[in-house]
This record gives sequence, C-alpha cells and structure tokens, in this order.
Amino acid sequence: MSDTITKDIWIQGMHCDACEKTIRKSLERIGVGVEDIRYTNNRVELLYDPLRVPFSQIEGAVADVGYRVRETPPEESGPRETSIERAKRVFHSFRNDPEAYQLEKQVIKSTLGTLFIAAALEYLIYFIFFWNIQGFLHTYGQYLGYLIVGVVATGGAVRHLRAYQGAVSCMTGMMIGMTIGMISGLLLGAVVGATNGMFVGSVFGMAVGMAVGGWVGVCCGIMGLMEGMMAGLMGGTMGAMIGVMMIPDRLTLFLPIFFVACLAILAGLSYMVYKEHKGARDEVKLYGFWPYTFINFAFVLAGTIIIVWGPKAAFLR
Amino acid sequence: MDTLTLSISGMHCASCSKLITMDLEDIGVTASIDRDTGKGKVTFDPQKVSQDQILDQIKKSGYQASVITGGTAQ
Repeated sequence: MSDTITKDIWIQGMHCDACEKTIRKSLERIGVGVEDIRYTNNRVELLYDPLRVPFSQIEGAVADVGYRVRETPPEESGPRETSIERAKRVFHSFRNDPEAYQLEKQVIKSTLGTLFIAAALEYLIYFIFFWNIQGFLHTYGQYLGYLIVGVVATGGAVRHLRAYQGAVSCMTGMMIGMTIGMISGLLLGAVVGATNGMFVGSVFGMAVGMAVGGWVGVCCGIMGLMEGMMAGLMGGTMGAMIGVMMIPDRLTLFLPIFFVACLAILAGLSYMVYKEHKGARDEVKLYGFWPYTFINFAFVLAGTIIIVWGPKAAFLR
Repeated sequence: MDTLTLSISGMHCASCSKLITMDLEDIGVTASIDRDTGKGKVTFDPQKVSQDQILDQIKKSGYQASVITGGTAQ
C-alpha cells in the first residue's frame, strides 16, 4: 500500500498562470499530486509517497521547468540581512567577483563607449555648425549635455534589458515597459520642454517614450506594449511640464537632481531584471555595439535638431 | 513522421511556451516553440495523432494555433 503524505514546499519566482501549470504538470508526471498551488503564494502543497518518489526527484522535476524548491519558507532561511548589508554584499560581489555581473559589466563598458562616441560626434557637430554663433553654448550647452546623458543612459538600460528578451516573465516585462517608457519620456521631455516649451517638449517626449517603452515592453506581448506606451505618454508630457514649469524657478539646480533620480531608477530596474532572471542566462544575447551606438546618436541628433531649430513657445524665443 | 509549422498566439512568457511543449508531449508530439516569433515546429506520427488533435490540444492549454505550412510524409 502506498503511504502518501502531504508536504509543503516553497517555490519562488512564479509569475503567472502558466508558471503554475508547468510546475503542476511536471510534478504530476513523476506521480506527485499537487494539492494547492497559486502563483500569488510561494507555498505549494504536495501529496506524494516518499517511498516511491524521493524528494530529490521532486526538486529535479521543478528545476526542469526552471524553478527552485525550498523546504522552508523563504523568510525563515537564515538570519535576515538588512538592506545596508545587502547593498554592501551586492557592491562587493560586483567589484571583486569576476564571474558575477559579466553581462552587466560589459553593458556598462559599452554604454560608456557609446557616451564617449555620441559626445564626440555632438562636439564635432557643434564645431562645424554652431561654434561661431554667439551665446550658443550658454543657451544650449547644458541642455545638449543632458540630452546626450539621457539618451545614452536609457540606451544602456535598454541594451541590458533587451539581452534578457525571451527570458522575462509577464510581470517583469510590464515593469520594464513601464519604467523605460516613463523614464525615457521624462528625461527627454524635460530637456526639450526646457528649451522649446510645452508643445514640442510634450510631443517629442511622448513620441520617444511611447516608441521606446512599447518597443522594450513588447518582450511580454501586448500587455507590455500597452504598458510601455501608456507610461511613455505620461512620462513625455510630464517631463515637458517639469521642464517648462521649472524655468522661472531653479531649473539648472533641478535638472541634475532629476537626472540622478531617473538614472538611479534605471539602475534599479536593471538590477531587478538581473536578480529575477539571471537563471535564464543561456537565453541572454547581447546586441552589437555599433548598431546601438548609431541608434543612440540618431536620437541625440533628432533631439539636437529639435532643440536648436524646432518651434519654440513664445516666451522662449 | 510529419512536420508542421504552427503560428501560436497568446503566449506571454517563457512558462507559456514550456506549457504548450509539455501538453503536446502528452499526446506524443515533439514541439519546439520560439516565443519571440510565436512560431512552433511540431513533429508527429500521422498514424497516431491528427493535425486537428494537435490544434485542439494547444487550444486546451489556453492558446490559439493555426497551421502555416504542412509537410507530408518524408
């Protein structure tokens, strides 16, 4: 006779209905009954005969579909580290462990390369077209600088996230679309809003935010696409609003604060995707350096043209 | 063995494609699905499984599929 027992295990990282079903199916194939599984809850209740199915086989079946079994609730596994300890640990492994964060280091390097090349090309353009225009640097210098930083930072984050395409779940995909759409819209909307006013700033911010947000969000289908486009719409118009409304106040002081905050969000999102999906490393493929640099510079160029020659609100002429 | 190329819609994440693959294995069909393009290649024995059964099975998993190209016995 069989001696079935019920046992609770904990599985982290389930995001949707399909995750639930694949785990259930994989377990049922080895003769383990799943009494209760919900992707909103890490706890999974099993019904099985330990004499017939060893626990290692259960671990194997769950690992086959890409998840890891814990025998204790995640909260109880070892003493909890504080967020400062955690930040220290992450920072330490980032600096000292050659194995960890290889892709991330590569992305950071290539993004700095892109920044350098975009800035150099922009300087060349300045030198060819604008250097003898009086007051050009004073009027546009800082905004063009912010434009380059904004485009390249978003570009770097996108390059990192696109490398995980195919590995991310619905939830992460929506998060990616939303954050990238919002941040790219905010950054570029604010810069163009500050130089050209509400109308052009909004349209440019919206266009870039919706396009980029939708493009990266589509990694999880129509949900991510919509989420990215909505966030781009909001970020673009909001960014322009911030730029315009800050003009009579301390805009030059606000922009660096704003940019640091936005870049911190991008870094946080990249870390989140890394942490959630580093298990799917084998699906990761990185895009080429030159195509990405070229796309980045195309955005910088479009922004420059709009900032310098685009229509301006009456009070900015 | 016959091979079909299918277009599958409604997949959102890596688990979705895995689920379809597993459900097809149950009826003796080998599938390889590319979630990015929404295309899947299935190999099956026409004596045991029919094309409609395959489409039905995918529908049961909760997705829609249609045949792009079909090959006859090789």
